[in-house]
Amino acid sequence: MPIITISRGSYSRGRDVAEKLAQQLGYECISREIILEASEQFNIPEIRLSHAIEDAPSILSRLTRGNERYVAYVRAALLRRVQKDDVVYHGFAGHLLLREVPSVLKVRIIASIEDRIQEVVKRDGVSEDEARERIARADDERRKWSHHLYQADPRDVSLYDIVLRIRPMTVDDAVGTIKLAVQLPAFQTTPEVKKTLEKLAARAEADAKA
Amino acid sequence: MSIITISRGSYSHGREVAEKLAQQLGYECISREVILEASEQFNIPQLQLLKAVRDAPSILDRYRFGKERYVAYVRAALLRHVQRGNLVYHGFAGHFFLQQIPFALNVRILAGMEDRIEEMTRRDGISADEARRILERIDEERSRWSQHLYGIDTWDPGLYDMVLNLRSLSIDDAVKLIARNVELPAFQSTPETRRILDNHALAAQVEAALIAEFPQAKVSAKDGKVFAAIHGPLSQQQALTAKARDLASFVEGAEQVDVHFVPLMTAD
Repeated sequence: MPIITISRGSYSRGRDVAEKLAQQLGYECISREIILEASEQFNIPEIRLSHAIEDAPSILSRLTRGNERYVAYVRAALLRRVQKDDVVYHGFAGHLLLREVPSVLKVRIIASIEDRIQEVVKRDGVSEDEARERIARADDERRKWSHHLYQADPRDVSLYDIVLRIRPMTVDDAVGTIKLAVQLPAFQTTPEVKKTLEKLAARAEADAKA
Repeated sequence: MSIITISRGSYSHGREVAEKLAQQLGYECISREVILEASEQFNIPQLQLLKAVRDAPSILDRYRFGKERYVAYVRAALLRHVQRGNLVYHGFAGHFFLQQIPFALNVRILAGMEDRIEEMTRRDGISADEARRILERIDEERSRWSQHLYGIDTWDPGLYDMVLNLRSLSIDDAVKLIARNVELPAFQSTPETRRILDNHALAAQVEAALIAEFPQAKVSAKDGKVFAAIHGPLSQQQALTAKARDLASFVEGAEQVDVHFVPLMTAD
């Protein structure tokens, strides 16, 4: 009974890996849905939540620490959600939101910059230069965001249990590797982990409402 | 055939992963042996080679072609060795040389600083504070070294197909995951990728043969044909070209040698 988070650079095929993995394991695959859930649970407009957790923090929010509150909502909703177990989460910062849960399998999927550029060119129909700029911008936003809220750089490999590079490995190869890893004893949601998870979820909800 | 490289921090259990993996796959496991081979092949004391690939360059080295020369010898010996295939290489720096091989499975093993400190105090019987200091210095040296020689950072995850963290994975878990992935088609040689390895290996042998005389020599090879670019004063073009051709032709497998002479501009 495992919980898997997939961190992905933009345009790095991480979404494909997450979706295929969930499908093959028969797990639920969640990403942005969690924002909607948080929005319903805490009665906060969805748009504000998604701005708060997807955009790099503005100067104002850095001063007011306004984003932290929204992140607390999302974190609480996510902790509740993963209690159902057997889930693949590939939204923002799963590895950070769930970092206190001991058995979570934290995966990062990366691709070379050349491959990412080709992916943007193919998907968005822009020039290579434009694609390079888009990737740099997206990476920069995420880095700022992650740094602001967690003082962590998403590129820091020590945040993850496994980092896999797509190419020459394929998306299917990566899915196969994760499927093997998820059977390892370290990543099973034991009754003890469940207890911890319940405590964390309850505390996160209390924090979010406070 | 397959080649696995394991990059590891010191005291990170990477050696154990490499050895278990090799044993399980029935592969050869090599590390320091390459230094001995380079020492024998090029007649250079082992210690000098070891220092060149292990220690960060001093200020002085940056102005001389000191370490580059020894590194070229180690690289040549390593590439020659891996042509046999089905092996696990672990240790300093080797993965940089082997990363050009398209079918190599490049792995990095991570351990948390606290685990490494514990391992070091256990193995070497020193205090935790001292262990931390030493490990930080080693990491810093390695990082400077790879920056200097290759302009790359050992911590860049883009260099590896897999990064495995021993904080949550056991040594056996890591072995299992690597053993599974090396079976993938992506990490099997094909006649074409095999030829790329042979070309790199030949170029490295020729570069090693030239480097004492021509420290800036750049060499590439394709199916027994060698292209070497050398530098020297224009007045010595003929003599130097002939010398380089002689040295290169001596290398096994170099069937045809083209020398390209680049005149050095000198201030009169």
